[in-house]
Formats: sequence, C-alpha cells, structure tokens
Amino acid sequence: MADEQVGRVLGVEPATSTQFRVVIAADNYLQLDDLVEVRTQVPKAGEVHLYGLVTEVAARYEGARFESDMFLIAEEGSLPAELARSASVQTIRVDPEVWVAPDPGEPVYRVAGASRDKALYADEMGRRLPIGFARDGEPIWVDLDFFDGRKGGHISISGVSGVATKTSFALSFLRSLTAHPEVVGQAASNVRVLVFNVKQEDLLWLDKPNREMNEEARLQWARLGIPAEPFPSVSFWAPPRGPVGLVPDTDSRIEGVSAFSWTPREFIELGLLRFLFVESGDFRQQLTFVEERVRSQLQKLAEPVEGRPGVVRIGTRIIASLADLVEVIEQHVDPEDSEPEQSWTGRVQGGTAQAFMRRLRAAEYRIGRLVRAEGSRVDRMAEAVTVVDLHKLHDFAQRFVVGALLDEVFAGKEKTGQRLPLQVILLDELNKYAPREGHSPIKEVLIDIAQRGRSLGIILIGAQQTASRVAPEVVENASIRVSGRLDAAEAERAEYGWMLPSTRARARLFKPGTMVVFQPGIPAPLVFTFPYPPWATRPEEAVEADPFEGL
Amino acid sequence: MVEDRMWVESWSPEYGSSSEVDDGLTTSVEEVDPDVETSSWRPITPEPSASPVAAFIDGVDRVDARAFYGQGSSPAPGLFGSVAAGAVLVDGLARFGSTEVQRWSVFGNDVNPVVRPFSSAINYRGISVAGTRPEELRAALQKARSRLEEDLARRLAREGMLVIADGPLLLREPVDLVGYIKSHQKTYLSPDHSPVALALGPGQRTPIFGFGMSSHRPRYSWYTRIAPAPHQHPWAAIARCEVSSTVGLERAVGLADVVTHHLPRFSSKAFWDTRAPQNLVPIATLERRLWSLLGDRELIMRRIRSGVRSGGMAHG
Repeated sequence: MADEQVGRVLGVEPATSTQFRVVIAADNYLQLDDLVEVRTQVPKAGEVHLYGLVTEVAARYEGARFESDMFLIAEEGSLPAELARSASVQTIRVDPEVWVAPDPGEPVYRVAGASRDKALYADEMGRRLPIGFARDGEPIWVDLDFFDGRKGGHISISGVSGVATKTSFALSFLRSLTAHPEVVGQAASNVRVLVFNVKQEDLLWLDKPNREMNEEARLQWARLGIPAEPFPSVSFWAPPRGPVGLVPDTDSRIEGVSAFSWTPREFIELGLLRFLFVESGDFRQQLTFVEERVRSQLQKLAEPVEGRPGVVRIGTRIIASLADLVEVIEQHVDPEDSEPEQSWTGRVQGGTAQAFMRRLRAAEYRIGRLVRAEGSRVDRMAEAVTVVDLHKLHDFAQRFVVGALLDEVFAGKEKTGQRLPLQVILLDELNKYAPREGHSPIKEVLIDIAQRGRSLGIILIGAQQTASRVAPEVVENASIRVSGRLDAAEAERAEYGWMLPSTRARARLFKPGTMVVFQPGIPAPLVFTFPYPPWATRPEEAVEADPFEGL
Repeated sequence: MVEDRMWVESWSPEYGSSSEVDDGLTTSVEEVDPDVETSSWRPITPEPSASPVAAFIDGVDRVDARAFYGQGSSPAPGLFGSVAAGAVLVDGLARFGSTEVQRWSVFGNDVNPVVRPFSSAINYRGISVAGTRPEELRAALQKARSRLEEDLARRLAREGMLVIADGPLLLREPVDLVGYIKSHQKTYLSPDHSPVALALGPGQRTPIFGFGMSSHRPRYSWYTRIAPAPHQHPWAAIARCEVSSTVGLERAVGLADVVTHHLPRFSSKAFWDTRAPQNLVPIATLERRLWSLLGDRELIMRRIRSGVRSGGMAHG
C-alpha cells in the first residue's frame, strides 16, 4: 500500500527533531495516536526518515484576529478566513539515526505496511505478539523478549476498577500468548498460568464460549491470528464448602471446579503460618517474631501419623485440623496456668503472646476450612491455566491463599533453577498484597518475584487501580506497562511518567476496552483496543455443551 | 458646547483623514449632473434584495529595492517592485478567490536591463520609462498593479459576479463593476445637495448623479452611509460608489440599490480596523493577505542585493 500524504511539515514556528507540527491537507485528517512519517533530505547524510506519533490536533481560522471574528466568518459571511487544521507530532523513531529536524514543507505521510512496522519498531522486535489494534485498525504488538524474561519481564496494568478492563486485557494477552507458539518459541511449551479470581465469579467461565460474541469480534480475533475460542485448558479451584468434604464453595458453577485445601502436615512443612501474619502492624508488634519461633517449633516437633498422610502428631496430640494446631500452640505460647515457653515465644512480653493467640484464633475462624486432613492442594500443572477463586473468602483468607501459592511457585522455581517452563501469575489488587508502605511476607515474595522472577521464569502480570499505592520495586520491575482509564489525580503521578502529557490528559477518558501500552522497545505509549472476549465472563453468557448431544 | 463641534478622526493618523477638511473639500473640476436619476434630492432607501454573488477586489504594490544601472557619472535610476491583486468571493460565506503576484523592475532613461531570476519565486520582469524621477518610476509600478486589478475585475465580472473594487473605477465596459471610494478628497455635490448625503442613514443612498459625462470616463455615482457614525466628522462612514455609465441608467440604479442595501454588512468596527468603518472587512482582510503574499521585504531585498552582486544583471 502506498503511503498516503496527509499534510506538510509546518515551518511557521521551528520544527525540531523531537517535536514538530503538521498542517493537514483540506481533504484529509489526522487524529490522536496516528502514526506519520516524514522523509527529509539531509546534506551529506542523505534521506532521513522521521516517524512520529500525533499527540494533539488543532483547528483554527487563519486571518481571524478577534474572537468575535467567528461571527463575521461563520454567520455574516463578511470575513474570509482559511480553516487551518494542524497536528502536533512527537518523534518516536529516526532512521537512520541522524537526529535532525524535518524540513518545513516536506510532505507528511500516514504510515502503512512497511513504514508502519518501522514506526512501531516491529522490524526490530525479536518476537512480536499481537495484543490488539491501534487507532488505525491495524494490529499492534509487544515484544515478548520483554515479557518472558529474555530482556525484561512482567506486566503492570493500572486503571480504575470496572471501566479499565484490566483483567480482560490480561486474559486476552494470555490467550494470544497461548495461541501463538510460533512467536513464543521454546517458552510456549508447558506455559503455566496461575490466575486469582477476586471479583464475583467472572473468571470461572474461561473455558466456555461467550454467546454474546459477535461476528465483528470474531473477525478481529482472526486478524490477530487467535482462534475466537475460550481457553482450551483450564482448571478451576475454589475453597471447600463447610467443615467436611471437598465440595467447592461456588454459586454459579460447581461442575469442573475442584475444592482446594492444605493438610495440617503441609501447613506445617510449608511454613504457611507466616501468611497469617501479613498485616503491616504485625511486624511492629513483634508478632512476626513470635510466629518465626512457633513455625520452627512446629517443624521440629511434628511427626507423621501412620496411615493418615495429612495428619501429624505433636507430642501426644493428633493434629487433624487448624483448630487442633491452634490448641497445641496455645498450650505453649499462652498456657492457662503457667508462663509461656521461651522456646516458643522468645522473650516477648506476655501481651505480645496473647495478641499472637488472638490473631491465631481469629485466623482459625477465617481459614479453618482451608486446612483439613483430606487436603487437596491446587494442582498448578494439570492444565495450562489454573484459576483460583478467592472472591468468597475474607480479605484475610485471600491474603493467606495468595501468599501460600506465590510462595509455593517461587520456592518450586528456586529449587529447579530452570527458567522454562514459564509460570505466569495474574494477580489483581496488587496494592493489597504489595502495598507501598510496610512489611509483609507476601510483599516480600512479590518483590522477590518482581526482582528475580525474570531469571527464574516467573512472570507477574500485576494489576491495580493505582500504581502509586503499590511497592515501587514491583511496579518498576515491570518492563511492560499498560493502563486503562485513570483517575485524573492518579494520572499525574510519577508512576505514569512513561505517558506523554497528551496521554495523561486522555487517560481519564478511556472507554472500556481502550488501553495504552508502553514497552522498552518503543519510546512512546501506544493507545490500543482489544476485541470482545470469546470466553464467557458471566453465567448468562456461557454456552453450555448439550448433555444429550450424540445420544 | 465643545462636544458638538469637535470630533476625533476615526481613522488612524497615518492614513490621513477620511475627509480632507483643511479648506473644505475641493470642488471637482469635472462637470456634475445631479439630476440623472431624479431632480427631487432626498435619501433613498433601496428595497431589500437577495444577497448577490459578489467579489471584492483589491491590489497592493511595494518597492522592494531601489537600484541604478549604467556606467559613468549618471547611471539610470530604477526600482524593483512587487504587485499583487486578488479577490474575496462572497456567496453566503466569504472566501479567498484567486490572487496573483507579479514582480517588476522599472528603470528610467529608457534602459531595460535583463534581470536573471534571483530564485524560482523571485523573478523580476523589466519595464523601462523615459523619465528618471522617483514618482515616474513608481507610477509605472502602480500601472502594473492597476492592469492586474483590471484583468481580475474583468474576468470575475464576465463570470457573472458583482465586482466591488477598492478605489476608483477600473473599466469602461458595461459590466457589474462598482468602484468603492472610502475617502473624500473632492466634493461632487453642490451646497444644495450635500446636506442630503450628510443626512443619510445606514443602508441609504443619495440619488445617482452623473459626472464626467462628456469626458473619456463617464460615470454614474452616489453616496451611501455604511454605518452609523455618532460623534464623528459629518462625512465619516459615508462612501462614494461609481459605475461606468456604459451600463445605462437603469442598470446603474439596480447596482446602486443592491450595493447600498448590502454594504453595511461588510463595514468594519473601530476596534477591528484603523480605517473603520469604511475599510470593508473583506477588503481589509484581502489587503493583509496580499501584503503577506508579496513576501518578506527584507529577505527579498537581500536576495536582490546578492543576486545583483553576483552578476544577475546583463545589458539588455
């Protein structure tokens, strides 16, 4: 396709190497985010191509001097004026790299085909994965080298809840990832994705077709090279309902959902106790200190019970539930008629030991059902995507589960030391798990993942309403930044320094499904949209297989 | 009271005055026939009419540089000048019509050196005149500008437009061309008739009078007020229009009525133009545009200097 001329470089004010303006031809237009190219002849250097991104467009009457002239022009028809439309362009690439200003008057072209690839650095991307469509309706890509750990890793997604469609984007990205093994390469085999469902039962339908998916969306998926189908390989996990049995505690869907829990033995061996002390005050109050002592005591004293694999014995006590465990701990930490044992508590004040027990009893009430003799841990390897439903759990229990699973992933990867197969983690509400202020074991795991996960093959796709409230180590280590609609005040924060001023101004206006992406390979944020999901996000959308089919 | 007898000229001082009042207006030497339309002189209010498809035209000229040509002690004086003419077309909305820029070199003593183009856009064509006085050279340049305006006026009028030219009439042909004269250097009316012009309200005109009817440029003319002008010189906001008498009286009356009815719409306000209200909005805007089309004078002068130095002129 021949590049279409849309205007000429303005020279009324100086054009510069990084910013210039374009006067738009009367029969054409430019809009925000359009990509343009200027070829300029440079003495001795030859032809230099400047590629740029439209950051603002303007229209004015030339010849008008007073505001009231608008009436003379448009109503009275007595004042002739030229309608002048112009666009401000930010240079995003110069090829070859001779940083000159474009000559005023040079034709400006809308990019297409090869010149568009150049403008988007697609020719330099090692492995480009389509993630959606730019304003011109053509695909845009991210360089997987900056996702899977080769040159960078992690994605950070920000945006107002509800309209920013953070999870939808993350899933559509993952769908693209699993549909393009030829792009992903070696890392494609056995990629495992761990998804935490924190809101309603939105993600319990990833394996069901969406009946509201229309032909247009189908075509869009096809243009991205992705079959417009639900995720082919998903396992669903939910906490167990009630104190006995392993019936998943879900409302809209039970079929295909497994209940997860840990046995008391696993709880002790994995040291999960520490994920019950994750509040910012716990560290200050020395509760975490007591917890460390208690944890190591339990690991030292627990003995297996023959014939009951999940159960342990501490002293004479059989421990088959969290309640049993809490009771044993109490006997050592806060016994009714004697002093706390120093081997369990250290030299902390009696009040601290009591506070520890209060927390533990509260925890027993909230997560008791997650620890049981017939435990069944989340099997992250069974299917490509593992969805863990947290939405019915108390905040406290949610943090316990997230902490326990993240720790499991990290410890497992650390043990093998292998980057592949990749383990991707999708976690929303990062501000809750890795808040900017304070200490907690989950925050530590997340910072570990952010800093070292890249080399261990653990990739975090973290989402949050406000990146400014997430630990900077976590946000800063994300090579790829994505944002949907932002609160106006949030958009002005330093965490969004990667946006252009025009992007910030517009981020508060993004519609659902419109996002902006920044990646190290392209020095400009790109606005894009992604198609309607082919998987159901609500029970009403789900197309159920006909149980009588084939009979 | 002082207020009754003193007023501030509404035009900016550099333009002189819209009425040269030093000795009263000079009486025209041309014969005036006030009774061609009617002998009963009083203001006429034309019937409302549909907005015509009209073209306002104007021209500008500028001396870019002065020069001398020849050897010995008295080289021939000359100048490099630029002229431009253009139109604003009014048909509901106003828009710029065609414009043209020409560049001329004018030398006295009948010499006409060949001037090579200084650049693709700066190319002077030569004119020679017999005299050597600056005003003679300048007159030749103004003549070139008038020719350009005449050609444009003729073309637009033949396309069926009502052409309103800034300044006195350009053509003697029977076309819909109206000359619009915004300042008063001469009075064409006798003391009996002048009060009628001064009594005009906006959108009114005097009866048509003929003048120079036996000269080579017989015309019909009338006065019209284009805006109210309280606390102004009595002749402020009054303009004079003229058409060639070759159009015939009936057509002249028709043109006078249409122009009188519609001109107030194009008058300018004091904040808007330094020659308000007579300097019409389309013409003022056109003039600014024409000036800008002539190009930057400093830059052109520099081009001429360096071009002449490097042998841009040859004997012609």
